[in-house]
Amino acid sequence: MRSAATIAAGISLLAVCASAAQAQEFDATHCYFGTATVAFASDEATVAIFDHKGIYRANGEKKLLNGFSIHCTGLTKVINKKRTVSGGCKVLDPKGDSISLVFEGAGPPGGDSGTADAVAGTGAWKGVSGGGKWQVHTPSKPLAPGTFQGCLRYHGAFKVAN
Amino acid sequence: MHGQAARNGEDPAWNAKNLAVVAGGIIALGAGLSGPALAQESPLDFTVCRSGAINFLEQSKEATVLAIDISGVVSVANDRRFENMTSRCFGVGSLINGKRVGTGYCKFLDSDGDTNLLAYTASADKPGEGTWQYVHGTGKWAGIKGTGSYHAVTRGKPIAAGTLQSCNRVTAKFSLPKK
Repeated sequence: MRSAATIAAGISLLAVCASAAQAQEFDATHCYFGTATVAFASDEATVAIFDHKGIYRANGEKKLLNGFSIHCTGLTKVINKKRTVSGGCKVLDPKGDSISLVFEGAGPPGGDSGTADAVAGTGAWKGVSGGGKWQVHTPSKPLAPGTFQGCLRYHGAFKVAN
Repeated sequence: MHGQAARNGEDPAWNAKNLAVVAGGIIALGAGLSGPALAQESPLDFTVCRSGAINFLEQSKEATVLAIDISGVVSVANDRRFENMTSRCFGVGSLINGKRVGTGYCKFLDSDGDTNLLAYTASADKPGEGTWQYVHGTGKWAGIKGTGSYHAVTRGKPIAAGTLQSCNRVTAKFSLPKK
């Protein structure tokens, strides 16, 4: 009898926790403008750092990230013809609370894809977890040397434990 | 009969000569009204999202004067030729004693390296809105004509001091010379 009560209480607590950390789905287009600095470049290996800023525009009904601004810095490597990217982003909501993301991916410029996960948050996003997949879909031509412009689709879900 | 007709301005010779002049004028006027041979106007509707620098020359309650240099990409367009075009805009704006003024130019570059250039004027009373017109084009955009309007659809909180992030929806009608 006591065990049954304990199990029941445990299940109730689990249910409360699950609802408290409800997933908030998002599906947004992130367009950005940035600069890249090449550390070294050759046929065998290229390494560059990049820095870009931009904004999210929600796709469809999942409005979560609409109007959030974003700043990313990262590293691009091309080794043995394989290009990979990794780095971090700060996402800022209209109230000034932020989500910190780490990302990684692979693929050619203008067509790379990967994942980005939340690792920290402030204010309303304190304790955030989750993340999603991203895919660059703009093979755009740079308007000025040393710069790049692009857009990617980012979709997934965040959870906030509060 | 002939004399009477001449007095009334009905001399057949006079009429034939002047009708030709008048007709020629009407044809010329018609050509002038339609301009150089342009294709039919096409509707244009796209969203461009940008980020860049915003620098304030003056920023006070009474007077604000600023300049922008922002770049981005056309992410959604009703005409595929405009999709993924990169964009860079230079502009200046001011708000002095409640009077808002803003003007600038935006250059769009497609994947073939062809460009078009538009001049915009911000609305005096609706922040984030304005009108624009094409002023130049190269390659496939040479001779482009068109006018339209724009309005901000998202404006994020600046991700860093001195920066600006926003998306604008742009609508217009444009035409290109017939080839």
